[in-house]
Amino acid sequence: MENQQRNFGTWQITSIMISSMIGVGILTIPRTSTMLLQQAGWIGPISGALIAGVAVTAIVYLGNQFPGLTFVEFMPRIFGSVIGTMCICLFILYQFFNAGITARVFGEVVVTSVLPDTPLEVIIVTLLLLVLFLCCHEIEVVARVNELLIPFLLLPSLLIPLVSFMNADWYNLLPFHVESWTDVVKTGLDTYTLYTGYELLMVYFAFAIPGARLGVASITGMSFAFVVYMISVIAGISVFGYEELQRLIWPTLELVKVTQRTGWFLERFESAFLAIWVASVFTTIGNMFYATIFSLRQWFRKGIRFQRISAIVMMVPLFFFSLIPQNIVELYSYLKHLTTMGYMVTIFIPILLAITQFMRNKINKGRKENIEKGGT
Amino acid sequence: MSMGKFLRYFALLIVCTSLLTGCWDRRELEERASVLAIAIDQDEDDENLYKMTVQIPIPIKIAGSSGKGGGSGADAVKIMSVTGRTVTDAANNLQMRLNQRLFLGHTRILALSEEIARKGIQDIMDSFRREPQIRRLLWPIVVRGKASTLLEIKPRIEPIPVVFLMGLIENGMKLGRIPDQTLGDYFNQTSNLTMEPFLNYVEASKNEVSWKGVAVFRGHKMMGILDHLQTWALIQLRNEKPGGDIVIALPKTKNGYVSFRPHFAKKKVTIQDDFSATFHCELQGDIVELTEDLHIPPEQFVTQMQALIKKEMENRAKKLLQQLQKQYNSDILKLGLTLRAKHYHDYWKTHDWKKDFRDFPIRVKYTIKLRRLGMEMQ
Repeated sequence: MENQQRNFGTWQITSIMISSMIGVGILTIPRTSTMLLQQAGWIGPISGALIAGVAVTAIVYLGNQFPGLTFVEFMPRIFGSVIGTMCICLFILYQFFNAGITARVFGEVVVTSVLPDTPLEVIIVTLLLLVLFLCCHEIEVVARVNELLIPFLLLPSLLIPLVSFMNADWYNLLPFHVESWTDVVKTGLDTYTLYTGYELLMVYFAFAIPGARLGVASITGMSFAFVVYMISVIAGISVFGYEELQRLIWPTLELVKVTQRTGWFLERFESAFLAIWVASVFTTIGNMFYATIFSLRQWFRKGIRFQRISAIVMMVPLFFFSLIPQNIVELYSYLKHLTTMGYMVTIFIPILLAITQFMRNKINKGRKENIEKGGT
Repeated sequence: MSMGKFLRYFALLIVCTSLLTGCWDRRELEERASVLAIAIDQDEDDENLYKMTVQIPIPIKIAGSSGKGGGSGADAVKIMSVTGRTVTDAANNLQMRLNQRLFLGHTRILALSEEIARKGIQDIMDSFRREPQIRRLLWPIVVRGKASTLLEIKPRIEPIPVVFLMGLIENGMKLGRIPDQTLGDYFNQTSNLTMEPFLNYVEASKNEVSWKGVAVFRGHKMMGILDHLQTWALIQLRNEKPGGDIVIALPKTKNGYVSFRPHFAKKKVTIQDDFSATFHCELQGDIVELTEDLHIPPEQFVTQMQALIKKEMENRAKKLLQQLQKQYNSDILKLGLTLRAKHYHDYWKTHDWKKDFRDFPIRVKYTIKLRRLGMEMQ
């Protein structure tokens, strides 16, 4: 396998992380986090971030331990080849399914809200073709695309909730009371999915410039995403009230629709929002699918030609997978199953890897000292 | 070489023309029948049918009238009525009579007749909740008598009646006299467990429309109306909007009146330990009219007027509370929200607000700050 250049800057890593995390989840977050916690729904993004934060720490630790190596290379080194291979399989499968479901949710949003007469297949195919085009390039293109799109993503996702605070009723956020802490944990386990995408860093960290600060990059990325989610939830609760949120399928989109009240520069702001949101979904799916294809390529120790061919081949099952859920209710039940699978891939495996590596280092160090002592 | 280049460009052209033509949902502006307003009544003959009336502007007429300068401005819109078992059924029947596709994205007014508002409008609202074209910012309005009369007015100031109506509401909103109640607000208020919704209430005659106050709901059912005086007290206590001019008969005079124009309203709600609420409302404003000279020194005049206005406003608020609590039993003051926010454990959890609002002790205290006397010295 030819040696890949390691040339991702810290900001590029950050932007990959942010745009992998912010995707379709932002449209539903005000509803999902208030489902159990009601007025205190803003705790949802916090508890989700705490859960995800542990896994991110583990991934950063691994990234520093194995500079220049992706998970395909370091997993077998830590877990041995059998379990390592299983983990790699699981990771690739998860990314594959996740990309498919994300594409489907994207299609559903577009079909229900703006283009009711357009076949769902066409929307998904156009998105996937774009992703396919991305997958035919070397990995540094991914970094550049993410870096280029990040301002378009961040600005509106911060601006819209802030503007909508104008019609907020702050009493909707009160009283601050938590009925049961198990609800907080449950919501956290649900809202942590908003931050999924960080596990892709196990691939992209390997291409950071030697000396790039991985810790800083991931803390910045996490906090950006956290702030965006947090203010979306607060805006959602204070504008609609938690009761109404339960009845809205995509509350953030509704938030955009009410925001045009201010009417500064654009009427029908939701079309502009959706246009920008397309970019953010594209980067999410693009990063996921690229990671899938790229890990396959590394696994088989092949070159860019293998990557291109496998991207085209894999696109077909991906497309059909995204069409399996027959209706919106089924889609959300699939999403739930995927979340369960996600706990394994995005939380347990990175943490276990990090712990194993940490223990191994400790033991090796002890051994070394013993040998040194024996030497003297 | 050049052949290859030509072919490449040709391929690009083909790809662009086939892919960039737009999508299934492409619909030009002139291919849409934009509905500006919808009115929903009960059908006169069959009680189970709804009658839906829509107002559709005629583009050519509007463009022509501005060029020629007036003329037959009254016919700039087409008004059509259909019946159906549900709102969607009626819309279907309407589509069968139209050459273009119905488009609800520009709908600004949803007029409901008082009759169906009193029966309950949950079933009507469902389709408005589901339809993505509908904007949460449109204004639902309850109309005295038939809702369709609101669409049939001929104001003559504007070629399109709905534009006139929108101007009336928008302007009233800016002046702080008409509450801004959108469809989204209605949805939020019906979902919210602590409050009840209300909608603007108008009356339409042949050529005119006039705002009369608000229709108070409980759940999705209209309970009654508040006239404009009570509504102004309501929006002072609820939205901190000034409301309209306060005209009071001067005591001890034959036919003297004083008019006070509030410019700013501020309110504060306090809940006492024995669970009673006090609304403190501060009004700042000017005297704009005094029809009879009182012959008293200015300092005394100011305090006397402030006391007079305070008494009048507290009376109006008292009547408002009387109506809301005893007659309609509907908390549109957002008092429940305050109680839940501030006294969740000690009050809200142990009480059923929907029942207890009726007997909850509420006091209203006005503070009047008379700032200026207009262009007159006294």
